[in-house]
Amino acid sequence: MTNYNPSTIDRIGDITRGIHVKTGTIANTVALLSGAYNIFTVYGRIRIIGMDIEAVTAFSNDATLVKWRFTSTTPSVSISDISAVSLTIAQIPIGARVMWRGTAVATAPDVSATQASIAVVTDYMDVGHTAGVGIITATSSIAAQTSGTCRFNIYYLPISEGAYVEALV
Amino acid sequence: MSNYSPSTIAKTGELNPKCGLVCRTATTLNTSTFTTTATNIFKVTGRIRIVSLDVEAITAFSANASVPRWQILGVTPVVALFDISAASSTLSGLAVGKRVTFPGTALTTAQVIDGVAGITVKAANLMDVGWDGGVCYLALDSDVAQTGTTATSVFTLCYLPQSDGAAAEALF
Repeated sequence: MTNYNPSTIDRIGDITRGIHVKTGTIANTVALLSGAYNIFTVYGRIRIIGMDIEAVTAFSNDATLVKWRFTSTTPSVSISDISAVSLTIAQIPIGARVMWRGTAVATAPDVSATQASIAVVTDYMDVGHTAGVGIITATSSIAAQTSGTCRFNIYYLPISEGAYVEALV
Repeated sequence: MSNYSPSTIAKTGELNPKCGLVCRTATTLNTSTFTTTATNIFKVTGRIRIVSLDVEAITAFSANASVPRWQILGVTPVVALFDISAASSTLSGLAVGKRVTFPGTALTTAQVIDGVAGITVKAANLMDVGWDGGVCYLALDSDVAQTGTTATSVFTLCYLPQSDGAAAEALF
């Protein structure tokens, strides 16, 4: 193997699997309550080729379901699902992930019970508008998480001129 | 995340085969592009693989039942216009931000209109168009013209070159 330095490895990763943007570590009691939580701002039109929630510490034993949604502020378009709800994310262990699949707006995310993710995502979805602004939201339902911490990741490619993503937290 | 400059973000995207090189038109009045006969939108040199091809409503479309389909017109060698998709459903009053996407599945597969503005699922398939050493146009034939004077759109082609020197360019 070539002796790449870490920044070169990062850049190869961005080229091959999309540009990575992540949030900080967030308490589940903040991000995974029943309701919407804004995670990323999308400037312009992007192609999402991966998106997930990673357990930084184990999740609480609450049967929370979660889905991703997108709302455009410019132009103004009502919020819409970009996934169906997941199965319960109760007690997923450190390092496990909830993975958005992108096949259709009604496709449920995968919930991994271990640190190994099976059936890696191969589909993608474009969100946002030329010169527009929008927000990607995680919306939880059924039960609120009462402990644990998480991080949100997105991997994307820009499609419209100057498009990019920012983490809101 | 690395603090990439906008140009680096763009180039990073273009190196990924799920995007490829991005070629887009300027925002253009629909009266110039959605016409009753074929209008050339992109010029293709050599052979390219279409990863995605779509049109986005920048302002709402007029109330004309345009049903666009994509075609190819060969310049070198000369080849008469032929369809590479079937027509979409009517684009009358298409809302701001909605996209109409080329499916790439067959020459007779209809274009897909977004269910929700700003959310577009992956095109069903890839399609190679053009030929090594040749030149052709990707053209749009809408059968029914858009007549509104405020309706505008942007065309976006994401592609991968397949022959030496292959490239695409927007014509406006």
